[in-house]
Amino acid sequence: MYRKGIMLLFSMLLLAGCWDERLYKNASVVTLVGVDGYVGAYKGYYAYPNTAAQQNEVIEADGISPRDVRNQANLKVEQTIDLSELSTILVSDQTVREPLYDILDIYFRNPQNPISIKIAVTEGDVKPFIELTKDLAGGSGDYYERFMESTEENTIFPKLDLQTVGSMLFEQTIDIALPYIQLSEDKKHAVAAGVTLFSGQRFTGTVLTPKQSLTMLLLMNQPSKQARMSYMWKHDGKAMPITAEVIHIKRQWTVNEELKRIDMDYLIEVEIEEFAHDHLYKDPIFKEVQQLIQNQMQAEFEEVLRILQGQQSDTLGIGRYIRAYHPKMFQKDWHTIYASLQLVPSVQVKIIRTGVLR
Amino acid sequence: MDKVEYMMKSLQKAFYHSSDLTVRQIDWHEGDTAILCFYASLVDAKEVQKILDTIYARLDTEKPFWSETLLTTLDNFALPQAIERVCQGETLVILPDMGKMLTLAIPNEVRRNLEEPNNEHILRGSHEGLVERADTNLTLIRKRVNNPALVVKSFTIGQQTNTKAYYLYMDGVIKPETLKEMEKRIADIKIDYFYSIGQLSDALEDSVLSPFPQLLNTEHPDRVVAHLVEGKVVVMTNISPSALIGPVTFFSFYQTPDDYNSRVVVGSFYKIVRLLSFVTAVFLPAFYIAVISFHFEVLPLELSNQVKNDVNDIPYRPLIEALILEIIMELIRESSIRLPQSVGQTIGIVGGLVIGDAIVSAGLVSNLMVIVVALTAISSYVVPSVELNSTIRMLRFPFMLLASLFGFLGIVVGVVILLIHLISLTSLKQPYFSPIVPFQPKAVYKIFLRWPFIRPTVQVTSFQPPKDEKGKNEDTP
Amino acid sequence: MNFSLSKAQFFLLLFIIQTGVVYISFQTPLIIYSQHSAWFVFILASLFHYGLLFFFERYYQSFFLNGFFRWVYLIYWLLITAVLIAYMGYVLASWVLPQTPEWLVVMLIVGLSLYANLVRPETVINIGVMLIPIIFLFVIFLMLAVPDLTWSNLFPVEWNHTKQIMAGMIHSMYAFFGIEMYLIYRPFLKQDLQVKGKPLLIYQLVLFIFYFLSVVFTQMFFALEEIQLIPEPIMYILKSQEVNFVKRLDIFFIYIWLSWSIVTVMIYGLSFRVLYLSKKRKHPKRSIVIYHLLLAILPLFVMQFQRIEFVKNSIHYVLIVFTILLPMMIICWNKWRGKRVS
Repeated sequence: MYRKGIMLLFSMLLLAGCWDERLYKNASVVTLVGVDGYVGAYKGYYAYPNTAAQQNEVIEADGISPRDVRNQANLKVEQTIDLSELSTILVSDQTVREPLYDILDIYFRNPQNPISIKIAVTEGDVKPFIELTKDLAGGSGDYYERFMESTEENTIFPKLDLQTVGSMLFEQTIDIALPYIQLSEDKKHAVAAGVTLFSGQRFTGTVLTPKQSLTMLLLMNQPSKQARMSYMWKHDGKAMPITAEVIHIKRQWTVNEELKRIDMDYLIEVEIEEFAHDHLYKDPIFKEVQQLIQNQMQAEFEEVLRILQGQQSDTLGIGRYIRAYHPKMFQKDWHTIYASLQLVPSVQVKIIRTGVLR
Repeated sequence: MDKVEYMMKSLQKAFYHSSDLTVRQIDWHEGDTAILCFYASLVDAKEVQKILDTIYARLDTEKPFWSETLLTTLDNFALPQAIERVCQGETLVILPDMGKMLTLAIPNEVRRNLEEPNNEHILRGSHEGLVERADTNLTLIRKRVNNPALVVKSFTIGQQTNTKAYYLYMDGVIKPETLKEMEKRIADIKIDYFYSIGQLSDALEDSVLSPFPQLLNTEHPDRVVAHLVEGKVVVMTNISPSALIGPVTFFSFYQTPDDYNSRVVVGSFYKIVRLLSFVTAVFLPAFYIAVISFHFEVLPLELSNQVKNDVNDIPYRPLIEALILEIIMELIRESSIRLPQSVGQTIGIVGGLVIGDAIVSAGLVSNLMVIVVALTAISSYVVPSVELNSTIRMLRFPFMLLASLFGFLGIVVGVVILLIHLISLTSLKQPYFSPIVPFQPKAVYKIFLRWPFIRPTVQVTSFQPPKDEKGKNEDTP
Repeated sequence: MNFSLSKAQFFLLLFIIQTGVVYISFQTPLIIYSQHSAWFVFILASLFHYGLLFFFERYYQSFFLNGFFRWVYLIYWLLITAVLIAYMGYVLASWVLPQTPEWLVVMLIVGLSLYANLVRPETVINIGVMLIPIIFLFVIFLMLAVPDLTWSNLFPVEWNHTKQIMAGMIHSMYAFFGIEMYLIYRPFLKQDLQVKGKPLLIYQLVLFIFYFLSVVFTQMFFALEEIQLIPEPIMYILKSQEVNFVKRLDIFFIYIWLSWSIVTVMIYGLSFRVLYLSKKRKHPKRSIVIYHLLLAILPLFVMQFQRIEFVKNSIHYVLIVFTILLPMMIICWNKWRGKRVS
């Protein structure tokens, strides 16, 4: 009797078990998601690899919310749509005019969704960006992930993932700058086109060019593996290009609480990577080149800071700094204070290496 | 009927008229007759004749101790004793007139050569192996320990078979409670017909139903000695080359003489590799099943694409898929043990390569599953002990089942059950999972490393931690 | 009950009781209530805890429980364990097993505890040893988050809000719940062992560093507004980390945490055994089974979002009463009466 009972219990377990089973072979593993539209009328695109054809399928669906879009998309797929292997989210620049968190909520709330993924803003509709991955042999999400990671290494896009974006969205004291991508002219590639500036949860409409976003990242003291700048050097009526790579940055912010003025001192150490004129060992040339880079950067720093303040977009995290070290100066409505701050950058450039040539 | 003839009749009867029994009337000193009685199958007849000749010669000189030599004794005759001696392979000369019997202990030497044990190959060190004869085995051990403190005690197992067996220990090293426990268990053995070492280990083990062996089984005399000096009891029988050693810990099954024959760093490295193999052997298939059917989000993107391609068209659920392969694996193992060595290899190739390849191209199982199962099989054979290695191969089936029911939760539940079982298991009433239980932080590293200076350690005897934490338990004897 | 503990076993036991279950979640209320100064408040709370340990060590012999208080503690432990199991079930359901019925998860947890408590007591005492390496893993993988930390989140430290500091202190209690077990298990320590001084300091330091890292990491990783939405911050930090071979660390660590918590439940079962069987009882096995039966039923009433929230928001007051106030009272009273634990 006892034995029979155990057998019965065991077979019941076997029959009824596997409540949470999600067989991998029955899931359509979406790697790239595109979001378009606004609350009440969202459009979603889901790209998943079709293993048989070595291609990517794209499913398009409409719905009132991001989650609803996914439910609608599920109706069109023979397997279940599964976002646990998601690696990139693309959002159109129209959609991010509304609060960004509205579309991200489902990714934070659902435990199966990864949050160590990339997010980017596209110029215009998302659709062409998703469709261009159709013929790729690899996954669509991988393509954009690799694309953005390599751009991050060139210090054009800030190093962000969904979690850090979410963390900043909740904070008044820092704003996000999301990668901005355009289509190439032949509509076959994505092109990194700088960063979009956010003020709070919304896109301000201003996009920094790649060169400006590099400057912004230098201001943030986040140079990645490569951070290169090229300038024209005019000498004896001839123009000669110089390329410098940033090696180290030392940053010093001095806050004057009464004047609401922040002196931002940067000491930037660079290596000369391109200078066909050579002869940097000659002191006057060296000095002149160094001065030229310094002046150019000073101008760029000022310009970028002006844009950021104009858009009330505190991507540098000045608010964080002020709140932590000068709490008296900090106020709840940070963005207006930020716009009225007096930010005074001063750049000092030092050439510390010249490559293997003198 | 005269006395001698009557006696012969009764002897014949006592031995059930067995064909290999010889009972013969012979002439003895000065017109007396004697009865010669022995099992022809057990006695070395030529040697017996030689000794008898010596004794005849001595009888004529009328020396008082004519009967005493190294191999002979003179006792009063009694039928039960006579039967016992004949059964042990001794030759009996009964002197009915004197009421005495002369026994000649010259058994026929049937033994095989001292070969290296087949199931415990080692690279370096002694290649002698125990054989199916207790005295030879004792020789091999005495040869290594020239010390009277090595005590050998004999006993018999099997009320009907009366098989000779011994237990050995080092006096002064062994803990009295260990010895007492072993003696108690030996006294409690109730076996009528003893023919297999398995009967003995069943009778001596603490919990027979546990999957883990609680007595170490070895055929290496050097291993026996190593355990003797650590204060353990060794039981050997006359019928099997295996020596049973107890009490042991789980981790002693993971040691081989090679660890101590090779260099310190190398020995430690392989010890660690072997212990890690436990993890892969037991958990790898379960882990794979859990990942594929519950938690595939843990796979990194690049890997997940490969896995997805591989499993997409498999008709079965992962558990069934794994079971198919595992059972094929076990079949190959069984068949290659039973077959002669030359054919065994062929089976290995047919099984491994042909079936493995065909089953994947037929789409029954995925490539990855083949990798997982093969890896598991290799890891399970790393364990030096045959018993533990079969235990480990068996253990993975419940884990696979649990993983297919609850994913990682099932594995966690299985692990906790396994740990509770291991921690509460005993070997001769002493903790099996020492030094984890009782926890001795200073002894734990010995599980993983082989220390340069081999200091024999005495196993802890109780579940209570030792009095002095500085390591009284590791005293050199 | 007849067993004895070495120093290592004793402190391991305490460590598992104190860190199990709450480690992944106690940071949230602490940071919500004491804002940027959470880390500082936690240091204060740890000092208080150290003092408490000293007090317990000095007077543990006076912690004699009469029949009434014995029952009070037995029931308190039963309820606390039930709440812990409910929380474990809830976390599992929300993180990894949304479809699996709650009763089954609870049954599995309770079943394991029952099995461990039916064999000899040494099993429960020593099973925590197996957790040491995986707890190390927890800390090591938390370190992966270092590049994502924002140091300025630690400032400013505000001194002037006493209310805020008090609230933080009270919520730090989660980190130190179960400290009354010190008094329960201290008499089982081998007679001649010294605990005062270095061993106690080392224990306090290990516990403090272990918890402090988690507090500081949580505070630096999340924005203040964000942390209010995140009940299991440590899991969330692990979820956002990605290593080469594993994409989602949280899935592994939720199960590591589960096994850790199961051991905590087992130790509570052992404490029940110790206290209940300190008097001779007729059916020791039966009472253990009944205790576990209750454990299997009670959590099912708590496993809902609102009830879990209610328990979370109120249980620290209960903890203060039973882990600090009541032991102190009992000790003082017995001191005055002159009664001691034999």
